[in-house]
Amino acid sequence: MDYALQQFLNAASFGAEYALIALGLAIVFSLMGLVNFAHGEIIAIASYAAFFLILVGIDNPAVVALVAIAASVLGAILFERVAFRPVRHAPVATGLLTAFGVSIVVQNAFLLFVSPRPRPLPVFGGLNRTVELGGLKVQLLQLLEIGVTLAAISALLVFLRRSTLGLAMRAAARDFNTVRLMGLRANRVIATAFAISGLLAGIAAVFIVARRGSIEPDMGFMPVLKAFVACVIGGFGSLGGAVLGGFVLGFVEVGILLVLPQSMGGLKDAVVFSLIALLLVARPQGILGSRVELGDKER
Amino acid sequence: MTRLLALDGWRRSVIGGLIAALPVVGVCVLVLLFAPAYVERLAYAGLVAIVVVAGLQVFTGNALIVNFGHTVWVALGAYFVAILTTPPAMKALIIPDAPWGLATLQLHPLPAVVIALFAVLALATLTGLVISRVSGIGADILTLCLQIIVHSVLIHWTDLFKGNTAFFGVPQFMTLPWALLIVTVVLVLARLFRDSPWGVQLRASSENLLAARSMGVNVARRRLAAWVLGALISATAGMMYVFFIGTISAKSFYFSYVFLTIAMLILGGMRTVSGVVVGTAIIQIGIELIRMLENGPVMLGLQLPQMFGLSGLVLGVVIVLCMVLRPSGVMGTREFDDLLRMWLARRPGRNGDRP
Amino acid sequence: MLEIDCLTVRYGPITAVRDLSLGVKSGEAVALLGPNGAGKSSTLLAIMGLAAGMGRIAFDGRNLTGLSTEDRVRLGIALVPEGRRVFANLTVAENLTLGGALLSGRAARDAATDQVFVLFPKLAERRAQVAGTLSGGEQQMLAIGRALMAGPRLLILDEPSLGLAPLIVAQIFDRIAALKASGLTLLIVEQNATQALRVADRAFVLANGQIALAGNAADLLATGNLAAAYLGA
Repeated sequence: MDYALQQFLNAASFGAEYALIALGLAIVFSLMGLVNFAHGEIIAIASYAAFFLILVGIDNPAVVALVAIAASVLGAILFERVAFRPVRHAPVATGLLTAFGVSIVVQNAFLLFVSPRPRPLPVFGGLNRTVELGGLKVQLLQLLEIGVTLAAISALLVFLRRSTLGLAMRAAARDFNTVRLMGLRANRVIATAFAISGLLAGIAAVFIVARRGSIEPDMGFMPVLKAFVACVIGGFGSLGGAVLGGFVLGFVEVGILLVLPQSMGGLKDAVVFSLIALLLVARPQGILGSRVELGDKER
Repeated sequence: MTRLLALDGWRRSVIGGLIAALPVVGVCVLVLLFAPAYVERLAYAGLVAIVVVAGLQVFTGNALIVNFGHTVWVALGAYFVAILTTPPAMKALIIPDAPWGLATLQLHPLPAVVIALFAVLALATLTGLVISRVSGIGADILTLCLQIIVHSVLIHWTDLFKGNTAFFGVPQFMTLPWALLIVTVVLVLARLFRDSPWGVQLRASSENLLAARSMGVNVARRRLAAWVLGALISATAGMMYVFFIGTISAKSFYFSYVFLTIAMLILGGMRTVSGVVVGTAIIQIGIELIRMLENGPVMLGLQLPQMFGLSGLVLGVVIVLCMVLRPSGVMGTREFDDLLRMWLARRPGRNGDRP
Repeated sequence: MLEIDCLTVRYGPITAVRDLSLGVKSGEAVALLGPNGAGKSSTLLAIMGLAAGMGRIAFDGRNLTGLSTEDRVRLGIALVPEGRRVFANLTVAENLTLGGALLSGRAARDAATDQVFVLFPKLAERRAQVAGTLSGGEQQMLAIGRALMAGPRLLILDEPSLGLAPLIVAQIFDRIAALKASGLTLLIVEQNATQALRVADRAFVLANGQIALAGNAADLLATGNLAAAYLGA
């Protein structure tokens, strides 16, 4: 029983991490058709902000986490302003390659100005302890990850349903020009979307750093690749799909690790991505792709 | 010259391909005659890059699907010939437990290359049948999946591919002139495909999928053709590479190499074969120059600090600037020979004697 | 209130509108008529800043050149777009809220919503329904209501009768007449000339991007000139 619960929490916490990041990708994609591969560098920015804070002697974990999240929000807004606004109306491939360019710039900036090698960052290490919950031993980090993710998704849902800007974002996912006819500024709507995606990535970054205990320039690449896959599983551009896809991926990954013999554990990625490819061929629009969800794009 | 440029049909494509190869040949001849050995090695690396990017151009440039998987074929081409041609004495050290008796097999490079190309043909057809059916972002992702799957297999099937460490001891017999010949053939091939009815249909379908389909173009078939041809060209690049260097490691074909070659393609202009040459040349030379800076040279009597990451930083800035300012790349949609023709037509006094 | 001077709109080599000049006075309803492809919609897009045009467009004496679509809306111009373009994934109430996005405060928004519901009681019944499931006529009402939420001084309607049954068209135009009676300035673009002319004070008939005919709506309705203009004679 203990073992099963442990694996469940394992899968759910990975899923939560993917969902947070995937949600950020989906929000931006649903609004402007941009596949933001530079999203991983938002995670890196948050982590390096934490690193610099420690360097200057501030080591209260809560303060560090808040500043890291703020840094990722600012970073996301900055990316939009500098790199993505000029290519806003360009074809998908142009946006995708611009995002890659941004990603390469930021990674190499950290490489150049900090270090090409991983640096230890144990500030959130305190989260890695086990706590007793109703007689069961569980990891605090995993509980927090699942809890905070669910809270963030609920908050986002309320924002999208209750606030004018949230309504505008849902509407703009379908028809941006008509939203402009309401007098709402396109730049503001899109900047908000990037800010939200940065916020979610920042939260994910805190958990990622807590788990790894270190930072390195390309640390955002793998998580975003996974999140990207989560979006595809759920149906690209669908916010509900991103969350669902994130959790599905988390469970599939942990499941495959359990099923694969020890000697083939290294082939986990190969198996996971083969499954993804099969899904994509069988159902190119993803699981939720055809349904009308929060922000599906009509095409 | 004017007469050559006025040719039509496939001859025009061949001439166009040769004109694209001309500056490469010129530079390499100069290198062979005057440059020190290390420059020759750099030139060879440049030629390999041109072939890789040409393979990428055949698919991505015509179908307008971003291909994150093209270096898979470079890696596989290199590994296949490496496994087939490395002397058994070497293999006893590297891959003693290789399946199917491959540990004791040694082939002459020529049959090895043929077998490797057929193996790549088979694998590319198989993957292409899947990828060509999906459009848009789905197809981009599939190429990404392919990259991760193959890389994962290369790393973990240590009995055959040596895994995470380098595979060494491959015979080294390639020289710059031979590579130059391959580059020329590949550029002509890429150009022939671009101008062929299939290439034209594919490019049309990438602009407007529905219109092309409604005119009866079998888009999936055209994509498959481009995918397979691109894979074969990329595999050739891998063989050129391993027969020169003598050693390979899967890591060097992973994402950083993917991005580097994609950057070359988009900077030059992915729609043209000439763009392949331009983009590769600019980035390859640029990066070599910046690498000198990275190592912290002494300049004007000052010891500059080491600056790892500078080349990547510049590469990224180039990609972003290129996308913002000139998304269609340096060459846009024009080949070298198109520019030549326009220039000839514009020259005063020559308008009269054009055929 | 709205003055257009020598407006030309080009899409690449194609000229959609050529040297067009017209004006709409405060409190007036003006119809812009013409067959498909005459340049009506391009004119509207230029007014809203959604298509690039050469020439001068002024609202209340203020030159609109260089202003974004959003800023033009903020000045008090509202467009009911062709094909309605309601936000299909949002409810009726949410659509209206977005229409009143520029209003400050919940009270102002609720008041504006109530006004819309007075004009279109049907919308009040359907306020919690997702807009994509409304009938064509109801969607048109919602599109007009959404545009009214911001309290515009000039309301532009692009083909309000498009794709609607005659009975519904009559209902919609009855409401448009009510809006005019309340003193709102209107610019109505229509292919359905008869309906538009019944509401309008003046009308311009466009053909091939130019004004082919202009005059009092009543006169145009009475004489047979209209058909001739439509046929391009």
